[in-house]
Amino acid sequence: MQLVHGASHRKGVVPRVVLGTRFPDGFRTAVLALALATTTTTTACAPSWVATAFERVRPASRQAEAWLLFQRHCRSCHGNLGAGDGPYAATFRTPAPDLRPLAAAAADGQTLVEHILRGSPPEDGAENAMPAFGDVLSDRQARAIVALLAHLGRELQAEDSDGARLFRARCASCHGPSGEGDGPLAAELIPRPRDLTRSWYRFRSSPSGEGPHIADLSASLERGLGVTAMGRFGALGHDRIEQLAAFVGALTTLDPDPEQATGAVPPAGGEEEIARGRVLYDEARCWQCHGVDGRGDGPSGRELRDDGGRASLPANLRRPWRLKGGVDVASLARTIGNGLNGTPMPSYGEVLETDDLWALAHYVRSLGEARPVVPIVLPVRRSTRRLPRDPNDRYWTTLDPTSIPLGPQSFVAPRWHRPAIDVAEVRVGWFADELAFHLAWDDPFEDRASEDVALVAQSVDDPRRPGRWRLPDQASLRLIRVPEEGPLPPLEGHEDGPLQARLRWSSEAQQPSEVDGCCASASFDNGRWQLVLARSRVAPETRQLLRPGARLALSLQLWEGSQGEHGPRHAISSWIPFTLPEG
Amino acid sequence: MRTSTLTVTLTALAAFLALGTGAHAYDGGPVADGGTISGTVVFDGAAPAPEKIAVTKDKPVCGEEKVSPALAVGADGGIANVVVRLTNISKGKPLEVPASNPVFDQKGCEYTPHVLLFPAGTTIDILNSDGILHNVHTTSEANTSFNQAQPKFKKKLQKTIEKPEMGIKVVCDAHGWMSAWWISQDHPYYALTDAKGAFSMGDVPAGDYDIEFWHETLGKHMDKVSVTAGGTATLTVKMAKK
Ligand SMILES: [Cu+2]
Repeated sequence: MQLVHGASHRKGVVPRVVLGTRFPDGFRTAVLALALATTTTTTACAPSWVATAFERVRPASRQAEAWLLFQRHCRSCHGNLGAGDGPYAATFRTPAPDLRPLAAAAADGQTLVEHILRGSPPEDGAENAMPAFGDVLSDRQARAIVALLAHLGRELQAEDSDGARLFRARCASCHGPSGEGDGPLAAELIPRPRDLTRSWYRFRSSPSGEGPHIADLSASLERGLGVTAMGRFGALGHDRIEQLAAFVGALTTLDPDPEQATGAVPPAGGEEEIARGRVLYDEARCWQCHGVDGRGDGPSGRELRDDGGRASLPANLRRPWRLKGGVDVASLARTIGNGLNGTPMPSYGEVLETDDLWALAHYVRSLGEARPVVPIVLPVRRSTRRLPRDPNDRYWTTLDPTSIPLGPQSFVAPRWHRPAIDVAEVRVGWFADELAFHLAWDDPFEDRASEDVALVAQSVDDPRRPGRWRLPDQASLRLIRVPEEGPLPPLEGHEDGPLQARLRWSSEAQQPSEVDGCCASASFDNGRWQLVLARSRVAPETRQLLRPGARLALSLQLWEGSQGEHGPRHAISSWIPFTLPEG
Repeated sequence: MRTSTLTVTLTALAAFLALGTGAHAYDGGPVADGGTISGTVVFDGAAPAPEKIAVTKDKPVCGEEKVSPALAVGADGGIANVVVRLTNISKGKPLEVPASNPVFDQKGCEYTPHVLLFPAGTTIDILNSDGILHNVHTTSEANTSFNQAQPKFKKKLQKTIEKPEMGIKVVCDAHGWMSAWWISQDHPYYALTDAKGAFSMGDVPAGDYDIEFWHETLGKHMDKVSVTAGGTATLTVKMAKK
């Protein structure tokens, strides 16, 4: 066994490795497989610093390790392949760059290594900071990641597109060397990676219980599955996708139909069609799992399990970017008609007529909201009356809401790459000496009870638990004073920065409650929290009233208790600036 | 049976199934002067109290509480719903798909019957007698698993189970307490115990047989039985919690 370096900040997942250390079997096999798979890498075309830094470690194992680290720490923004198409990059106003050509072109990877280890503040006009990963990655590992990205950049031009080789190099880290869903990263992923040798593929155009078509597999690879670790692999290029799909298809116990699925063309969906779909949604009792407003909050939701005994939460139909089976009308009709094998989502193909399936799909499509990007500025309304504490007060509907995206808390350990909440609606009001924020976000379950947080921390990757944790839902709004001009401060630098206030709320608290010297009041209805947070307009450190024209920024943090979120495990937004209006 | 026009082709599946059933090795024909195997399966030890499950939703239809159907022990200790079958018979009376389809009903948020025996190739009429949504979700190895929604307006669904399989589990995801078992037979010598734990199978050709008793919570018990021409072999079998 050659020397393989693997370090992790999380004990027991991928162990820190020294020669002689015991490995979990799956890890050993996977690393071996990866090592065998990537022998085409040559140091000859890598930048010279790579060769000197790693002369004692074989390039294949270095790259396999870098791939695991990149999947763990980087892919939720940068994408599985570093192409800048991670599931959260879609919300960035400033696109995440394709790192592959950047790394391949860098004569000296030092600048990129510095970015990884120390992070970087947002550039002027941009909203996103690169978090620092120096606490979980060594200098050597950061270099290996840059070398991997350079390799991926060169792979773009390479002609090799062998399905088996691609699978071992790019899929085995999660799906395991033989596709059984037991790769070295599998234990820390929710949902768990699919056992590709079982027939119960979910995203298929074939009927309930049957294997997928090859074209279904290509589509999943190309599209990526929602915000899960199975991201888009379109950056591999069409030919490689085809090769991979054919290879994966051959792994199943049922022969996947080699024929292409002929996509049925949906009829145009007008208002009438949508209205008919709404009636069907009620009659077919879709709300029993997906909720009356489609927010995934139906009465059956919490209990559902997949065929492996893991928690299986119903989809929030208003968040189409999280739907793994595709969001166009044809895909939705296919999912409703064929069901999702191995999950509680049943097939309706034999109980609804085809035109009813289309109507239902049109209705579900109409529920889907556009995914927001980080707004440039929040509007603030100066009120002529005292701001109501009741989040259901009609006054709040007279203010324009701004949708802001939230993403993974990736700044401090333990980082949390599967935030339950990824969008919130914010309204800001100002009256006399008071600022008030009206927040609304989707959350399938109203959580109040609390359990031992230490216990939760230990088993937060237990796939049976999502939706079943007994932890409170929480919100926190941080407020800072920012300069009139120039870039925003890095998000993680708040402890040293000009923090003005932190407004907190927890569903455990009796309401309305006093938080940080002021007030919070919340209500929960049909899978949605509404919350009013208010505070005085006085800056705490100076005791002076913030003047009209003052520029502030807020960042929102949200916790979904039933999905195990607490402490650093939460969703977070970028800084969103706003200005107190003049006059 | 109507399937969605969204589905593209079933030919591959049909070919696959045709191959699968070809492996079946049982020779059916007339049986002259066969014997009978009958007996009782009783619980070894004190009968456990039936497990009760609180109903959390759809109470107007489902009621307040359900008694788990998994282990039903009668007054004299007889165990209901034990599947009894001969495991080494290769020749005997023919296995015939029933003239009318067996009925599998969902009523009051319970499955009736709880264990359903039928020859492979049988089509099952799945009824929804409740005015609510159930889904019929199977876990199968030899056959393909399916998960079929059955809203209140779909009173009858039909499913054909092509291949023999012991223990296809059926559940409803909407009502976690609902569960049933389908047994798809590869020959006719199967029986199910009644509420008193009694079973009987006739027209068994004379000979020595291995006989298996299977219960969903108590597991398997193997025994031997000798059948004489025109005679009746009687067995009393005890099963206990593992
Ligand atoms: Cu049910």
